Amino acid sequence: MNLNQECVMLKSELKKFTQQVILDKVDEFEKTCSFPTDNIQKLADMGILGALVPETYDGAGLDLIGFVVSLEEMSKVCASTASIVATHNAFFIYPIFKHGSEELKKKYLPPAVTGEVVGGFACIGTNEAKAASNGENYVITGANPLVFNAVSDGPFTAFVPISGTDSNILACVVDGGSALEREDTNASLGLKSAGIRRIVYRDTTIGSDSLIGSPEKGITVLNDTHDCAIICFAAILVGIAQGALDEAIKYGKERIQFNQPIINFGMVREKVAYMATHIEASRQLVYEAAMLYDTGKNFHRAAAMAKHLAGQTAIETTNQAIQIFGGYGYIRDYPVERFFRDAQVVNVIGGTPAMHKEIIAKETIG
Amino acid sequence: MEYFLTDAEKELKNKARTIAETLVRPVRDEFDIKGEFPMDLVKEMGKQGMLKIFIPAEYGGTGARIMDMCIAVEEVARVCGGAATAYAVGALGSGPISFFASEEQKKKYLPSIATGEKLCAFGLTEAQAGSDAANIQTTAQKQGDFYILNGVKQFISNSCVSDVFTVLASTDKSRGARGISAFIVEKDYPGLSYGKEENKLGIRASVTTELVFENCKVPKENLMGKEGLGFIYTMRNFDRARPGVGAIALGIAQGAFEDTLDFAYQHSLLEDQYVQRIIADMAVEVEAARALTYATARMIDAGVKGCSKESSFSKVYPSDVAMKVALEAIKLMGPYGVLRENYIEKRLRDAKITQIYEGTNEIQRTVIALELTKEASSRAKNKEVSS
Repeated sequence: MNLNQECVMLKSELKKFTQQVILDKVDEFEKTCSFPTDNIQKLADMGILGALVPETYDGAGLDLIGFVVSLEEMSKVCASTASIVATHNAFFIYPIFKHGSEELKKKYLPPAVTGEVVGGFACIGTNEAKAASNGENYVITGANPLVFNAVSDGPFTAFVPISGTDSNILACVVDGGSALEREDTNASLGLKSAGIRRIVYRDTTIGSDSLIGSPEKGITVLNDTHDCAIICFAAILVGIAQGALDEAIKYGKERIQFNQPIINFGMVREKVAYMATHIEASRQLVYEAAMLYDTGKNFHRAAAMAKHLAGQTAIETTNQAIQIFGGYGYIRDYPVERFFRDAQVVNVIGGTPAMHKEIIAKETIG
Repeated sequence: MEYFLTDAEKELKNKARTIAETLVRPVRDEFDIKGEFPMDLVKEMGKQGMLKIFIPAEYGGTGARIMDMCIAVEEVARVCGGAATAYAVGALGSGPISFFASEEQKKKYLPSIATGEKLCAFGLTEAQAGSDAANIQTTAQKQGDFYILNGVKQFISNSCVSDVFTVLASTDKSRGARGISAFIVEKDYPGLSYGKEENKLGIRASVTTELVFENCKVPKENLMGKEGLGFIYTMRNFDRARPGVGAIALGIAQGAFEDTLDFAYQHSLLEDQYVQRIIADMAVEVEAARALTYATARMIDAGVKGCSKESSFSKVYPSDVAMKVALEAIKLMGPYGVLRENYIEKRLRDAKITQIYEGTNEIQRTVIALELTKEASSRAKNKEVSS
């Protein structure tokens, strides 16, 4: 699939940035589980934090294909960084600019574009909170153990079931200053520097000005947000897989056993062939889904396929990369175990594999 | 499935289950997070007779039966793969002493290893000798009444907490694998120290460091068996030990399966055919892994000669199943699965090592293929003869 000139340039710009700026810091951030604030600001300065925001709101107004290519490049080196950017764009900015009121857009989009605000997202699958109306406002109680980009006092989007309704979901922005606690539990297997926190709501009040669409439409906002987001996270999975393959090949060429580089051995080459083939297939599906989205065509089937295959690929590829490294793959001195852990987490963002298979089946059967 | 365990085996299984549930479960998170060896736990297991099972009856043990090892190790791994490794490493280290050491050496070392008073580890792997194990660079030079050992062993499980080591070193480099000899090394011998401690993905309750020999003086009577036979002892020991790794993998797989089943039930997912497929496959494959592990253990215990192939079977399959089950579990649980509190992510981290340690699954497959080549060759000869 041919990328246009803009994408090619963006890709090489991001590649340069990840190699020159992110690479050196990645181990340190991983070890200390710290949010790469400075790097995110630099990415904001490059326009990546407002990638999907239309130019009317000072964003870069990129096509989705340009954005996924950028995410893929970052993930080859640091999936946490890519995840921060993807969460900010796809789970925070996207529902606001697609479904939010003009007021909401004016409040959040400009600072989100400049990087003054890094928006977070409360994972749907782990939500244990409920919202209840008190006539004027909604009040959220409960907790969510998996909230991304929740490190400082920034806002995040949340989709919370409304008590006393059948299946209404409150789609809202929880402002940074709201009544809640952010617990640094370091409980996630991967994406250690993506600012993951457990959020405990303390009767958090959500005013009508913080709702994204009406409460009856919450589910629509959620589904639409998911559809676009899974393409972004599929791109991250492709990047992780590619990063793991690159590392495995590099190691395989250096590692001498039985008087020759282990890359010469059939069982290693078979893995390389598997990895390369599945990565290429996943990448093409991700690009296809993004381009369908960009051209206004039905992208749901392609998006679910992209996430499904890229997830399988990233998990199998990072697993095999560890196997090529042998004992060295199992220790924190080399990046492959991080790729493996990150792949597990990204794979379950935006729906489980079973959910994606069901979408594919539904769209295919018709 | 009914495996017709003897009364003694059933008793061992129950005891191991009780220890795993009452002593291991409460501390498994703590040791995983800290990456610390559970010394008190292993000592207590020794007191309760759990280390005896690795040692022959004549030296304070209960017979060193592979089946006993598999039963006990599986139960511990069902709760914690790290603790199971910390526990089972003793069997790998003491195996060569039990079977290849002199009567005097056995009497000197085995009884205290059987009680857990002394812990035992095994030192073969080096930086440049992983899968290519015969390529070890550590040397043992004979000087008077001593062998002088020099070199660095890598990824040695339980190294810095053990008292006695079976160590492989070359006494004659010109002879390659046939120049490798085995030594019994005590931790207090001058010139032995511990190097870098590894920060591992999983099995974090088992400590892993380098074992550094700098002109380490080992009394000549601590040579095991004969010079030049160390590599053969090692390979025979691995043949006996691999079902134990299979049992660790099996326990991890069993634990992951149970966690998944409970999760699916609690979240009312069992009517969903996507989930039914996953959970049914898990059940089938875990049981198949158990059957294979037990069958191999029985075969070795029966004294069948030449079990290399089956021994590799019993390591490859359960470890592949453990990874598959853990990966499927985490996918099924979705974002809950990647959170520490649901424990499945630890199962996955622990499972991964079982495909790597004691010979990667790739090396196991080459061992299997080598044996199959021999079989094919003899089939071809037989056909020639009959035609």
